[in-house]
Amino acid sequence: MSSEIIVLAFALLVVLLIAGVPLGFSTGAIGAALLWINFGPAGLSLIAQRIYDLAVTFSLLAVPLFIFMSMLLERSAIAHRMYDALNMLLCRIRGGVAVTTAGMAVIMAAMSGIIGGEIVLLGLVALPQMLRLGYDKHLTIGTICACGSLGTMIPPSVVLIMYGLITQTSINDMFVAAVVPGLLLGAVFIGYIIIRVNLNPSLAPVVERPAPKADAQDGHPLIEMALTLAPFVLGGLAGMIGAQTGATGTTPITIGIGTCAALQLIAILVTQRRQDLVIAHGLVPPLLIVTVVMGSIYGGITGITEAAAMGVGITLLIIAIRGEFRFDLFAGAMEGTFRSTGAIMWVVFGATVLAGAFSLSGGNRYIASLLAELNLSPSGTILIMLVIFFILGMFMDWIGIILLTMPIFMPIVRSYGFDPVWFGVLFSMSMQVAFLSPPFGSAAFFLKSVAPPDIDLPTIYRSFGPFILLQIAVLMLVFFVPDIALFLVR
Amino acid sequence: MQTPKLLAWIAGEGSIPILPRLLGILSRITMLLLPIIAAAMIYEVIKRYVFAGPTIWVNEFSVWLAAVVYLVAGLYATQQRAHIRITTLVDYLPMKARMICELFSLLILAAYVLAIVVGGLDGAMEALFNWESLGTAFNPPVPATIKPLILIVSVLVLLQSVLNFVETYTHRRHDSADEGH
Repeated sequence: MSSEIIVLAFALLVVLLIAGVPLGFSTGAIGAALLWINFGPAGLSLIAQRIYDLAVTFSLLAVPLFIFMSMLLERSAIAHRMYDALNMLLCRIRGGVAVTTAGMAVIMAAMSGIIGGEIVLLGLVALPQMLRLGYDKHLTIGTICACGSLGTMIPPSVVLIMYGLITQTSINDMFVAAVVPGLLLGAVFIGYIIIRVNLNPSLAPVVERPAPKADAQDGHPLIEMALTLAPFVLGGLAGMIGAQTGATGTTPITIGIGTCAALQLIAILVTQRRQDLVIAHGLVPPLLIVTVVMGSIYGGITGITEAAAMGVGITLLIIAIRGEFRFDLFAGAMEGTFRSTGAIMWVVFGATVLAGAFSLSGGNRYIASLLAELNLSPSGTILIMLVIFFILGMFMDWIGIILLTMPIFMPIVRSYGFDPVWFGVLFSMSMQVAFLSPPFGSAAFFLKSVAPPDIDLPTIYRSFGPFILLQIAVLMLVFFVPDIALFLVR
Repeated sequence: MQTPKLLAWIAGEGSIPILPRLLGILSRITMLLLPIIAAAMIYEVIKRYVFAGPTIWVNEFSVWLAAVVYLVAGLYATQQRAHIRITTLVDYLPMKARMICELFSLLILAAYVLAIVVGGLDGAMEALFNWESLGTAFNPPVPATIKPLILIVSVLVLLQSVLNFVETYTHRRHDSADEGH
């Protein structure tokens, strides 16, 4: 096909998007037009076929299930209690509340796979607290949004799932590879906060430990931490004993994780009666959720989709044990999940139509030849792609970017011999930048929706500067040292 | 004890016109498939590890229900105006230009739905009349149900979008008439 039609199709797509046509409908319609022009009416049969094939993909089911789990978490008090617990542990160091917020965001990110809910939650819990204690406004906002965006970087992550599906990369490998870069980002943020507040103490006043309630039998922090961490040690021991007594395959891991989860469940039942043990009461439930979901995935016990279902189950169980279960909480979570699922899936449908039409029309070859003419080195090409991600990220949603660019970029990435898993990690890190970058960085809008009125969008975006630089620095590190992502996969 | 609450929730409340009410009921019934899917999968994991006997039906059953969820959820998202779109520019336009954009959006959607239906009709009919199934041990009629459902829901998404447009249009005309007084 002629290159003019491809250029025209993309120009038209941009026009449609700016005119406010929903993403899913504009990509689908352009895809249909490409099929019609190239193959006549017969080509249109591809549309329903591709939608059907995608709709019955088992891995795709992980997306609504992880969203459901996040929606349940957001509506429960699990996150609030975790914040209290971390605060109790960390409040006496300088910048402790900021570190608490960042730490909570990282743990939340290991339970949640979407962006939005986490930032809203931190905006409701941490923002008023930090402003009241006299923390610097910009540091507070930057911490909340940068750390709150990690949900789509640290597994489970809907971004990683969609990337794996669209580029036919193993989602399991993506989940393994993204852990270290994701945690590294979190660690760099926390390190930055600690250095900043020590260089300039006026940014973060030291606060006293909140006084224990009058009737509380105050638990000693060390004992509480022991109670929190004991299940991991005992679970590990149980697993080792299992391996010693001749269990094979994943059985020792299953025994270990099962023991750990069971002990954590007992700890939750105990702390439900002893709510004065603030640290254990707050930390064990999120750790149980992480144990079940991540343990199932990394221990090879279940696939990602089943792990997501287990996550839904364990979250509901904790909510029920803690006496928070109400029908409207459950119905609200279902409703929210349903609405997001509808919005995301129809974008995915439209994009699979466009991607199919595009590659059938020879668009991939055209873009590849275009890039070849630029005569760039392989690494230079990857850098150009990252720059394109940044630019698109200012204006578009991550899902639109995956669907528009990956069908074009992936063949090139593979032909240069780069690992698609590594490229996927780079992609999801560049989306971290995209969430923060003006004018449409979505993190800012999520925070704005719950922030006090005197915090306006320009203030929010100004706060992001240092954090964006940190994100780009870590991204470059993974770019130059791919093993940071890949050493666990091999 | 929960059952009357559940039924009341499905039925919806207040004096809502018949069409949105029906869509609400359909959506809330479909939403309930989400916890059902999760429960089925947890059952499968327990069967596999505790009783060492995986089921033959959970994966296909889940995928089947999930496909229904994706499709009906798209219809619900249309009614809730939750589809992902870039509105930052459109929001700054004067009302008339905005309505032109909305109309344009509607035409694009109509073209897309027409393409889905024209292209998919033969395949959907074939799957439906031959009662096509997956050909596995459990053998659910996934193609026979989902392929036609894709077309039906697409048409409904278009109709709902037309309703949304009419609603916005009458609402805004009403608003501007108020301003005239």
